[in-house]
Amino acid sequence: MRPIFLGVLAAAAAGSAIAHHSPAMLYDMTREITIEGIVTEYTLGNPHLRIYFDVEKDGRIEKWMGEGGSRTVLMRKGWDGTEVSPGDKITVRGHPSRDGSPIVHLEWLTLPDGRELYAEDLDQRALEQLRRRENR
Amino acid sequence: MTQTAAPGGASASVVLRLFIAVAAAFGCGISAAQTDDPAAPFLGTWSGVFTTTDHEFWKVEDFACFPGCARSMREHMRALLADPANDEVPVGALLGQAYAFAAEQIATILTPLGKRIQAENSLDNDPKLHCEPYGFVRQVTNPLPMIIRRNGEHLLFEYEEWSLLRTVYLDGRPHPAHRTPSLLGHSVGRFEDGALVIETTRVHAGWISDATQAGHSDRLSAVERYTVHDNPRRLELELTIEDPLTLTEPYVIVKTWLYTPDVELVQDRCRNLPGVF
Repeated sequence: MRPIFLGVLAAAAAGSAIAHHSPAMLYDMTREITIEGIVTEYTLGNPHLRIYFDVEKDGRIEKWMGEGGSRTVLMRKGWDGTEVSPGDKITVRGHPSRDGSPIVHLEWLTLPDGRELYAEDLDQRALEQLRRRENR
Repeated sequence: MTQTAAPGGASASVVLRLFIAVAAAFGCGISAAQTDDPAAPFLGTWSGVFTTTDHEFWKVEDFACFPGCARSMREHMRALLADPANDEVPVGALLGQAYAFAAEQIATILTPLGKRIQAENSLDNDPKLHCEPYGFVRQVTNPLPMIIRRNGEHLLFEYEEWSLLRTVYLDGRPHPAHRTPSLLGHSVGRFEDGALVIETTRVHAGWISDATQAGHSDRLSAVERYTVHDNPRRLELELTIEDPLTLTEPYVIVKTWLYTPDVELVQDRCRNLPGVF
């Protein structure tokens, strides 16, 4: 299995979300990245879920961290902290850091079995739909 | 709305919650006139946008204000959403603009010390990233559900966030003579024209909000004014903070919760993670 850095996709219309703190302060919410890697540590903790994972790029391993939604909010949606384990191959989709640090504001998590989970507190698509309804 | 299921088994508390839920469903909130207890309208479980995302009451700017915000920031977010030039700009990007606006607004009333604290605060040194609870201001405006209970003569605020408890004394006692601060300080409450008014002092220095990255000292004094409204039944807070060391004038934060008798608090916990992040 060869983890692949899938690249940064400029995506002005891409989704974004609101985390327990204000992600717009730390992440570039106008861009979206998709990254494949191998889980090294996962915690459904406070203040946010975190997944640490290794990404192979140009023959080197980069240490990445994906930060998602709040523990108790995700628990209400059915998360229980066993979604992934060290060694699992995952794909994460979200927003890059503003300063280029290897962290990603995690919105979508693709599990080893192919299921895709929304990993944030609030679904940006729902907010966009609400916005359209209000503007009508 | 996704909520945890209520526990099974009939008990007095379950029956009471059911009665309250039915009363609320029919738009007849429990009022002081019905119970003779001025605290009665405030009792129960209250949840913000995170736990009641699908409720039709909320507008987009309410999601921007999920941890409480100044009214001016909420209005600014509404103006950004209404501007046709922003039609293709993602909500998350507009949020960034609204938070920057909030930071600029509060900077106009910061003392030199307040400005220095704001400049030094960053998401990298946000205490909660190191499993340290928020402190008073962010705790009382936090996004997770809370329960307000009667505890004899006093009120007990039970916050899901950090699983913290807070007593509000209603017996008319003054603040203590000592000035030793604590995480949530010393709170005394009273009722004014149907509003629950709580005064708090003796809190640890902390952040005012992560959106503004402004901070306050342990000289902060706060007045929370809670009111209950119907259609839908909701709790509204106007929090006014004053701090002679960091603020040149009072700063007001507002926040709204919906009445959610079926929501149960989830045990919160924190874990410090190693690493460079």
